Amino acid sequence: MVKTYTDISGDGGSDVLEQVVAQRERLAARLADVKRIVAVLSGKGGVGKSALTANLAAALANRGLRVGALDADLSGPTLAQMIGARSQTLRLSSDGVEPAIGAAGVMVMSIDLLLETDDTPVDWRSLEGLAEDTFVWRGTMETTAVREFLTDTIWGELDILLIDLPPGVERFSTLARLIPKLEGLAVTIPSAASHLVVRRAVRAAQASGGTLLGLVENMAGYLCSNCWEVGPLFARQPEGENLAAELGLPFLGSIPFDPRLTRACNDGQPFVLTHPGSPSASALEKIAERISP
Amino acid sequence: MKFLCIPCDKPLKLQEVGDPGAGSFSLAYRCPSCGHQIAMLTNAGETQLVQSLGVHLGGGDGSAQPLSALRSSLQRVRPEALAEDDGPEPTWNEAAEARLAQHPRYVQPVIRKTCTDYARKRGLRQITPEMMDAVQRAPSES
Repeated sequence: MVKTYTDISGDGGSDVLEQVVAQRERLAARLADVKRIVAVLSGKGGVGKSALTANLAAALANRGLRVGALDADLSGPTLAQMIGARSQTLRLSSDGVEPAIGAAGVMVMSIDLLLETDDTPVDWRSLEGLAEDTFVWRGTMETTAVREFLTDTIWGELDILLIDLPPGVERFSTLARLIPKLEGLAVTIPSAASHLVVRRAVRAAQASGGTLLGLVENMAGYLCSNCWEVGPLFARQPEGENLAAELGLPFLGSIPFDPRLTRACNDGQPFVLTHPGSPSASALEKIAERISP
Repeated sequence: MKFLCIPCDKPLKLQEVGDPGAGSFSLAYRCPSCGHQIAMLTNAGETQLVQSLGVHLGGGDGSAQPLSALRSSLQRVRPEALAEDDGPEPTWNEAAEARLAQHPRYVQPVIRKTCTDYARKRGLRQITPEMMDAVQRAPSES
């Protein structure tokens, strides 16, 4: 009877498995001095994950915490823009790469910092003849890229590292395989379509054994700049609190939509710092308090 | 993937890894008992997949640069995005520090980093208010 794969110890010298194990060990070593790692997830696009990540990071850093923020959305990176860290130079050393610095001193890493121009998409180099088959290995390359950002960035001792995840129900569970101590913060908006996807994303995260800190409801009403009343932004808004209860999550808060928040994101100045005391900023501060380590 | 010499019932050992110059790895294996040799030849897709894992067949040499897989795989990288560490940071003179302190506290770290990048790129060792003016005039060049 011919031996099977598992009958043979080692890999005959290709060393691939050992290198993968070594990659995981280097990643664990790099993140050993990070007290809390929180991925901001939704499953759905357009709910404001990046804006929330930027503002929470800034709020926490403004309190004196050492904060890092990683943009794991390689296709549509916006975190560096929203926190004022674009176009900086990343210093390389034998220990790794120094992150960019955003508002309030948040340490930032994003593929946006490497891309050539505002028009440059993320385009992976392929071997000759494989350009049309990039889709086969793109997922692997993206995971490798996120792993390298996490491993090679000189984060130092952080109180909290926030990770802005791209849309996709499976994103948290994929990242949790790289980071066993990963926690999640789910984000929804008050629309049935969003709740539909967020439910799936949360269940997928819970099934992977991940700890979710809670649910945040973004764009929870429209703040009128004249009368300061908050009215509905979406018709027949489902309640975020009900969704949180259904999913067994703490409800961490609702953030009203303020057009000034969008402008602040565009300007790279976190709204929570430029408009302290406003209803949206106050909501963000309360959520930051809830997730602070 | 593992290779077994059936007559000897022993795993083959990797002897040599050829450079994937034409998009194909050539891996030579040898039986430690009878000396029989084979070569595994990867196609371009298999080679690409291995490279996208950020590993090296036959073992890494431990000298990988930061973000090595990412930098070698990204088609177009901004020329000023990465720079080798070239010594101590530029210092700030008193007037530049006073100027920096006039900005909101949360913006100061960003200004400090941007000015430092500007100075390092030009080999300047001290940051002055005049340099801060230059940075403000051309922030995209820092």
